[in-house]
Amino acid sequence: MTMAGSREAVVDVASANSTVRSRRSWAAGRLVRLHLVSRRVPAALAVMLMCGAVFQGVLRWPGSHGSLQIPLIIEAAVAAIVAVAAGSPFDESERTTGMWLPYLRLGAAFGLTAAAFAALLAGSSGAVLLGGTLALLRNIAGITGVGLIAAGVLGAWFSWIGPMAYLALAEEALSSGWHTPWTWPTRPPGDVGGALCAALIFGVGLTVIATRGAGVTNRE
Amino acid sequence: MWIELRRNVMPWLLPVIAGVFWLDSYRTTLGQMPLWSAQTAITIGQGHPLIDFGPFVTGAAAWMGSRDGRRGTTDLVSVTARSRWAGQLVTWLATTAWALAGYIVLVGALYSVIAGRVSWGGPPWWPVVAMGAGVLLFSTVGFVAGALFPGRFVAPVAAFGGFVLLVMSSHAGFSDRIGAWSILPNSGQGGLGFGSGIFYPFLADLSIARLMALAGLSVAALGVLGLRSSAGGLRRARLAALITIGGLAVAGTAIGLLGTARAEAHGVVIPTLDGGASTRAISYAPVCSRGATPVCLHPAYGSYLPGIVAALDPVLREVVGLPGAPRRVMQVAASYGGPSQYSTVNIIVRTPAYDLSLGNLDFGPAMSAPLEDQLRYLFLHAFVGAGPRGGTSTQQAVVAALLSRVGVSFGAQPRLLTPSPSETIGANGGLPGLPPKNSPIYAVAERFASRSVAAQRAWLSSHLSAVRSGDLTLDKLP
Repeated sequence: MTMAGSREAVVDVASANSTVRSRRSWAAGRLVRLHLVSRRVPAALAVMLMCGAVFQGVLRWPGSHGSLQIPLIIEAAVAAIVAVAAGSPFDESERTTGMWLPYLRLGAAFGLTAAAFAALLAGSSGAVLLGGTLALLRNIAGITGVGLIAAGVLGAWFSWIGPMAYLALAEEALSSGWHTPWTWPTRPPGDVGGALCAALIFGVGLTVIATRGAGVTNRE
Repeated sequence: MWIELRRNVMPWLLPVIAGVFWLDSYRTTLGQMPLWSAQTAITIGQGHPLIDFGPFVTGAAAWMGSRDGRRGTTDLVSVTARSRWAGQLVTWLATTAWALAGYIVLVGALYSVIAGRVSWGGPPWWPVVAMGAGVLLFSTVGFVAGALFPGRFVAPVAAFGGFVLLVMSSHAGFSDRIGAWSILPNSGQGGLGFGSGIFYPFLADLSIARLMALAGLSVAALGVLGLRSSAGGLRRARLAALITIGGLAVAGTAIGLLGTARAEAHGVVIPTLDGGASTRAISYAPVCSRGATPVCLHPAYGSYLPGIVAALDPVLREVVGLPGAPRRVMQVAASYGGPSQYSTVNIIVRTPAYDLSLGNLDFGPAMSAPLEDQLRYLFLHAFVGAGPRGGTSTQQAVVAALLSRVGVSFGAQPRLLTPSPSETIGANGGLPGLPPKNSPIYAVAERFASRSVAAQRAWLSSHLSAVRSGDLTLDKLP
């Protein structure tokens, strides 16, 4: 083997490595895209944008001035969208795929939560938002955690029941003057206890979705 | 039908709804007076059961309505012997039947519990029927939304959208205007006053109009399903169009009637539906105390007579023999549309009797000391002729002086009308608060109260008419 031949071999290996890397990154991107499409993430984002528009209308409606109730409903709605979007159309068969599934689930849930927050933050622009941005983030994260836990237990299709039941509890807490940190919407925006509880629930929800995924159910 | 009932998702939500119902509707009845009107005015009158049921029912119905679309079986079921519309109606019927069954059971249980507590009045049935129509509407609209927009997100969007609508309706209903916003049974007070079934019959006008509107809209929504090309042939489309138009006509008529509604003393009156009930009163024999100035209450409030007498006796003794002092105090019904609607006491001078409207008072097992003092204040407020704005400074000083003589110190008076959850009088009664603690009125009142009782009575005998007319300035008070 001549030196010229060895140089050609090195060049071939280098180009082959770059080809492999580009094919891997393309495959990774395709995997992420297919995962998001399977979860109907584009539709979820569209619904969140719609919720953001409704949020803007509600904040500007004179009847809701000074009220935490109606904005909280919309915050819970986007949280429910995130939870429902965690559902897989492939059920059990998806669990036999490669090692990336937990990361994909985690990324999708976290990304959708961030998108929900961004949609409502945009929807509150120019209007008075009681509690401010911190309370909005806390409420969305916490209620999303409730929804993700409900998705793990009840299945994604009925996971909206979790945020709805929590919303009923929070509304009752608001009207009855409860102040437990577990009903964080009743706590002031900078309250550490409420934020910790919301963050804890969000973390548990993400863990459930990442490790177990949304529960499988055939019930109609 | 049996298969649709068995395979329905609605019964799985009923335990969750029951939990929310207990948290919201049932707990609201606790601590209220043992009268049907008091127990149900807030819960049923403000439509709490509908708020508990509506969102969950809408979401579940949307899920059931979207079944064929989500599963991709639309084409499959369209070629069956029955039209697709007929098939959808069966699914809708099963879903709605479960929802209404749950509603009837829970509201029935609530009424059973209330019946065990109360002794007067009768259960208001019309608002329950109207709320049932509300459950029907939410189930129908959710089902139709699911059928038209099948997908995994239709259930949460429908559920939370319904919740937004309900809460907005609640907020709008507490404005003074009664109109199209009143269509949902959780809007406003539902025509249920604290005197309903006690002093006057419950007026069903508002509930009837709501029932018509909600049922009409439900029928129209079902008709919309049949208008789709996949629902069946041309004949079915014509039938669906007729049903839709008929439903909209009924609903439109009812909404038009709601626009003519007005709040009167006995409740919400819609002239077209009112059969004279708005002017009828329920006759009763009052229970009265003995004494120089008897206090007479409706027998439904009879157990509170000793407490009311104990509260008013000291002030009655203070003013007996003075010009304008009452010869008796009579309880009257709290006016539905007036300031004494919710939780207040109102004492109005109609010499020789004072009218006492008690509204919804949370006496508990006995009168509390703050409530006694509040009643005494209201009596003296009426005695000196002070109006809803609190009266002149002189009137306030006379009230303060007389209050101090019956045991309410000057230091305690500024906080006398501070609202508490169960004893809100001033805030809802339209009376402003008493003078603040550093007001010069108290100094003048203290000076007046330091005079002998005989001197005070002599001065009041000759100057009360001037005090009541507002002609006397504060410096004229000795």
